[in-house]
Amino acid sequence: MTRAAARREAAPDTQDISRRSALPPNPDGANIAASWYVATRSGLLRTRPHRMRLFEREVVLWRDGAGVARCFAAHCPHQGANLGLGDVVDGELRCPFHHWRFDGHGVCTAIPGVSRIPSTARTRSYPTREAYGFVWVWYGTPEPLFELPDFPPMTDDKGSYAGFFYDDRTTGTVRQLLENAVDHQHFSALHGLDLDDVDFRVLGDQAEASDNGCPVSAEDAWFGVWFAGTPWRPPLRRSPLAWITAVVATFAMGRRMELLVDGWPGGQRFTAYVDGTEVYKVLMGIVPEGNRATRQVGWAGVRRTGRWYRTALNYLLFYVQNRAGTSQDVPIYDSTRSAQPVVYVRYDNGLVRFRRYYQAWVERAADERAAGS
Amino acid sequence: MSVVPAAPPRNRTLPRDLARGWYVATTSAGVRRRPRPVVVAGRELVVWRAGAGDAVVMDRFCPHQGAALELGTIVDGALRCPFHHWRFDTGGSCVAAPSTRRIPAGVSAVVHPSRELYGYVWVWIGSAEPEYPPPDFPHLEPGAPAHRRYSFQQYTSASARRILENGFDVPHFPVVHGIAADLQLDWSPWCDEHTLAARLTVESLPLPSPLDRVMSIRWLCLNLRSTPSYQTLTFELNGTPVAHELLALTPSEQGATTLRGWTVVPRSPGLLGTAAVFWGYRLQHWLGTRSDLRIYRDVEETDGSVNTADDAGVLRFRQFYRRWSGHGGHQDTAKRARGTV
Repeated sequence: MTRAAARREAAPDTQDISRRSALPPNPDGANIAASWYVATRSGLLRTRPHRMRLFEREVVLWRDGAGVARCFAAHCPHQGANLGLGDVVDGELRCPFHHWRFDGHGVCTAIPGVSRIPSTARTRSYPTREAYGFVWVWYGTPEPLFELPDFPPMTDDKGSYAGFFYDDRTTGTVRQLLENAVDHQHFSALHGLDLDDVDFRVLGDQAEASDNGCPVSAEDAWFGVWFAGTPWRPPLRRSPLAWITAVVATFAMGRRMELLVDGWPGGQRFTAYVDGTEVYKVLMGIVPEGNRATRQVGWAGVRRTGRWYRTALNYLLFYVQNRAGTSQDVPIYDSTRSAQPVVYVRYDNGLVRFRRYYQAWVERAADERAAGS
Repeated sequence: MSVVPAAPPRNRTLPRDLARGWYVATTSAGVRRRPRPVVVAGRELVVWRAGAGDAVVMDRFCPHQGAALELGTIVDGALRCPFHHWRFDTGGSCVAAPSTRRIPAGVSAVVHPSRELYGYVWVWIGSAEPEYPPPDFPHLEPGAPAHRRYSFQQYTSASARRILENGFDVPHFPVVHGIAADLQLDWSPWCDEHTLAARLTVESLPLPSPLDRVMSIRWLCLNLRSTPSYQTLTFELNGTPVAHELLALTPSEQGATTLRGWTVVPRSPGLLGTAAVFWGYRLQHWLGTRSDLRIYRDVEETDGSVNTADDAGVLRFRQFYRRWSGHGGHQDTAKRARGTV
């Protein structure tokens, strides 16, 4: 290494600190609620253990003999080696350091050269599920407080949709990503949708959100909103940009758009309609890696219309809409000051209710958070 | 709008014992049509400009939901938040909040007192109202006599006080800058509440061999006028001013300070007004700053109890500085005593 390079290494980003945008304060930290979260795409987890950061700690994901995805705290209880460097032998995870082996529940089953295995030789195992193309991990309590919710477009109703997976990284918090759908006022301001006849409601009954899939198994883990509006569509010649925005937002299928959003403390399901016809569905999961390290991942797809060219057009318009919207949202997530006093106005009513609901589920994870720190 | 790449988290620590004063937020040229985020004294600020007007220095985050205002745009002389399009005027009051029946009462962004002078945006830090005026540096005013000038900018991990007291630190000149002559520090009578002025003189400085045939230094003098946050200096050679300097600071956070400023070298008919002197001065300034910064880089704060008679200059400056940093100053202790009685 040259001397100049060494100097750069020593003071990597302190130079000219006043000119660079800094990460804003976030006193509450990651603020993760008890819930199901996405760890990784199913296809990425093969025979080798997969190490990653999740819930502000190191975890290792691997598949046991039956192919079931498992998620463990990464460090071996013996000498603390990272189990992610080990391998899977006979359906058990083997530590790289002294070849201790752990079964699917995190219990040590074999120690070379030792016949009696200490009863404390076990590693923390997180409940996992595999569904909708992702490995889901439960955070907050030893046993899940509700089942992983249903998302029909990727199970029973698979043939009716054409979609894509997405994965966006941000330095925002989990709550910010989830409350974005509840904050309807930002559709017009940030995303430039000039809406007339805006209608917004926090739903009171899971039956109202039945289009999104089967109800969430614990009533108090559910939160749903419904939103409707008519994008203002001026004549094309007078304001081409507003015209295009309005047409893309309604898929050139009508005038009134509706959005049904419901979810659990760590994810959401969306169904969108134009003039009462379903257009697309979205599943959103969160990968809470740590404080100011979050990913929003999921699947988004349009409903097949029966005519391939119409489906292709909808797919294209939705893809553009989805990616453009995300590219407007992410810089806001990245730079917002979180967990500080804010001003609420009338239209923030849904946001206030969402935050209350979310924080109640953060409370349920209090023991887990204490154990992690 | 492109996606902002994630930067590693940092904990902002306020600079310890920073004096109340005028600090440079950014250069005037750095604030154009888009607002610009800056960090001054551990505070996150955004600097923006309405049309051709003066720059406004405001808290960086929207009081509504905390979005960063540098992503916003300037609309009708007000800064519009990107998230919900609330608008804040140059005084910080909220002038528009779409889809609310009336603008929420009492909502305003905190605006810090600021001034645009000499190519910098100066912001008052430490109290609500400025307690002394921003710098007055006539050598850069429109009607100033002919001169050559340059601006400088350096980053250092030293505190603001360390940089300001450097000129009053007599014994460092022979050691760091190699001035092998007797230096004398005299306090000037023009000191007031917020200014400490002194004169540092060297008599008969011997020059190295080829130079001593061209010119002689009978006496060299450095006039220092320092407030707790900025400084003006004048170098005099044999009674003629050679260079005027304005030294400004941006204390970003503890252990991160940017020093900036201007040097103005007047043009004059004699030898001292030539380009050679300008470049010679600039070279010695660069070398001198470099040797100071090398010391600053690894310097550590001491309790200041070990001193010699030579340190009188630094000690007096520190005493003066403490009055403005709100720790152990005379006024402060007096106020506190009154408060408790």
